[in-house]
Amino acid sequence: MGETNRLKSLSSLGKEVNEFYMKYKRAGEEKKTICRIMGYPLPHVILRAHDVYYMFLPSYAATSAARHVVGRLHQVAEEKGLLREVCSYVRANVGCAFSAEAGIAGADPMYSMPKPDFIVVTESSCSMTFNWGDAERRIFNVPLFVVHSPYVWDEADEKDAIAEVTRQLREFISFLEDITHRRFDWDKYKRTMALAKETAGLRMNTMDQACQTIPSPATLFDWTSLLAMINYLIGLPEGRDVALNVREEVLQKIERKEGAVVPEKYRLYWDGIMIWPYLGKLAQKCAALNANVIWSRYSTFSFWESPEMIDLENPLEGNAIQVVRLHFNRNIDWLIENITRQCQRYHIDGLLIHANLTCRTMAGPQLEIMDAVSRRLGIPAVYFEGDMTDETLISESQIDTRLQALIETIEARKRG
Amino acid sequence: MKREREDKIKVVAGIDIGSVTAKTVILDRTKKILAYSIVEEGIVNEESAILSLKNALEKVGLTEKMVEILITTGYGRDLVRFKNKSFSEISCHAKGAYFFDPETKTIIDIGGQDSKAIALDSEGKVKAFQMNDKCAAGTGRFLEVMSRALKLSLSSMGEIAANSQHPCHVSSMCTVFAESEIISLSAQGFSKSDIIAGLYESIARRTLSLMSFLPVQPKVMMTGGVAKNKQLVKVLERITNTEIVVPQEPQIVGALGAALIALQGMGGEG
Repeated sequence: MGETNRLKSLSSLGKEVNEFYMKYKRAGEEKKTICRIMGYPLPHVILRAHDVYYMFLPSYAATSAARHVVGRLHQVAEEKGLLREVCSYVRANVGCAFSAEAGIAGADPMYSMPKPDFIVVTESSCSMTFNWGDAERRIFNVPLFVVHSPYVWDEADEKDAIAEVTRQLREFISFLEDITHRRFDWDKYKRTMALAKETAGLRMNTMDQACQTIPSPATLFDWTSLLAMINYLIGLPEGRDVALNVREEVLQKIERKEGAVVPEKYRLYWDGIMIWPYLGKLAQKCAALNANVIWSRYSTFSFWESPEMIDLENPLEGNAIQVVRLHFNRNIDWLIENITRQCQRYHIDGLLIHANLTCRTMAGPQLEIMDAVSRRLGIPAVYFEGDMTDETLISESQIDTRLQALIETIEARKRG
Repeated sequence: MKREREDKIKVVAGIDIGSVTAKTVILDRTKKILAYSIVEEGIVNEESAILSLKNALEKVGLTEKMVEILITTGYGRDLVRFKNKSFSEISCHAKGAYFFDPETKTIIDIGGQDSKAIALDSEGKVKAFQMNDKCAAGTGRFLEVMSRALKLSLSSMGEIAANSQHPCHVSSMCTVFAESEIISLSAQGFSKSDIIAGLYESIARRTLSLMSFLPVQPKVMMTGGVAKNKQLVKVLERITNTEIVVPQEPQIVGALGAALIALQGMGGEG
């Protein structure tokens, strides 16, 4: 029975995340400019360069779920009329917005977040994001700014989409200047982008190297934890330090031929958003079956996945590229082609497809991905339903059976 | 329960602990089925697995000590502490179905509380599978609830459905919604035979949707307790446009597969 041997260098992130929310709350109390962001972590660096504190709402929901305090937030949102079918990230945040009214604000430090001065939506192909932003605009009665990324059907569209998002970001900076009554410091923005580029580059290179290595020194559960570095620390020296520490540990483990799962017998691909309340348990379940979940399009094709394309002389465009090239923004052929290629590169034995019940954007193409990638590579796949934060939509025995059956099928094929 | 091995007679056992029944199959070294048992259980637990094992062993005058290897499968597979190992029901059903008929390429299993479709290659290995185990829609439990709503015994439903001339359209597959729907159909004056036939068609449509994920090839074998309902199998054949074979005892296929895996562990051919 295998065991987990996860990256130790990620342990500091929990403390960093706590401090992030403390700073956000303090900024609210001190009447500094604060905002809420939904969608993609696109405007983080711009906001940081302009000394605006932000709360990135998908990450807030994921963190609340990982800390098992999200259920009460969902309940508050449902009491306000949101159906259980609505994105559970939205429900967590609407619950948070009404936490004071519901009398739960003091029940957990995650519940009491201050009212924002404005809201930013970075919308790609998820239609829910705009509605979410609009709902929060009504709840808080504050201005809303929307950055919309056009869908990229083929490579020819990409250039136009980047130009369009760059134009919107320029407008966003004017919006920021109006709200804060301060000029935007372009030099500071360039310096912040340089740090962001370096941090994101370190993340991508480290992941790629680790995923190619057998046994892999890290697991998807490490890479998803590392997303906190992007969501909370991008553009800060602290973020780069985390990336450097992770890189160093990964290289040391590669040198020692030390895997994240001991022993690593099976290498899996994960499709779908992570099941945040179940992260540690799922890592252990996989390890117990000697399976290492190596990578996912969620962690590899998102979250500042193209840092090498950032030109620091044109940082706004570099910023725009990070949302345009997001996998949500791509057609199914691109997804199948790229997932297949990465699975080959990372020596994947099987596919674990997690259909997020309340994220249609993620779940939409999954059956086609499963079918095509599985056929092309001749590897088995399993599909199961769950959710990124709503524990009432997650069945442990369902996951257990499918995971075990997948491993048995891989093993039977290996035996020939 | 503690098992101590005795050298004289060696057998293997497979137990399938489902959500409604526990099934045991005892095999000798030559893959001969010595005995089997099926025990109804109120709730999944280790006791029903023990009872099922004891019943099967007693039928051929054996004791637990003579069981060399015990493999468990099914929803409650990890509840049995005295097992040697557990395997998923997917692998076990594949093994059992291939043993019953090596020409089997597709398995439809409708059990007490889940349903699955499994595609096999020519050597009986799992190619792909699909499961529905998140709700009781289209399972044995679904039929049980409907039989109560119609005030009929479960065993009489098939015979009554066979008399249907115009099956009703039952659109809901959620057990709760379907129950309301059939109460409403009953109030509208539809006959019980047409309502049950409609229910069977809705189960068949759901099964078809499960199968649509797989490369379905003949032979198609149906396993699980619901396969004992001949009328439902007929409806399934019609809706899926597939000939379906049902083994003599469809409920023990998973337990048989587990026993065959146990035999492999003993160095047999399993």
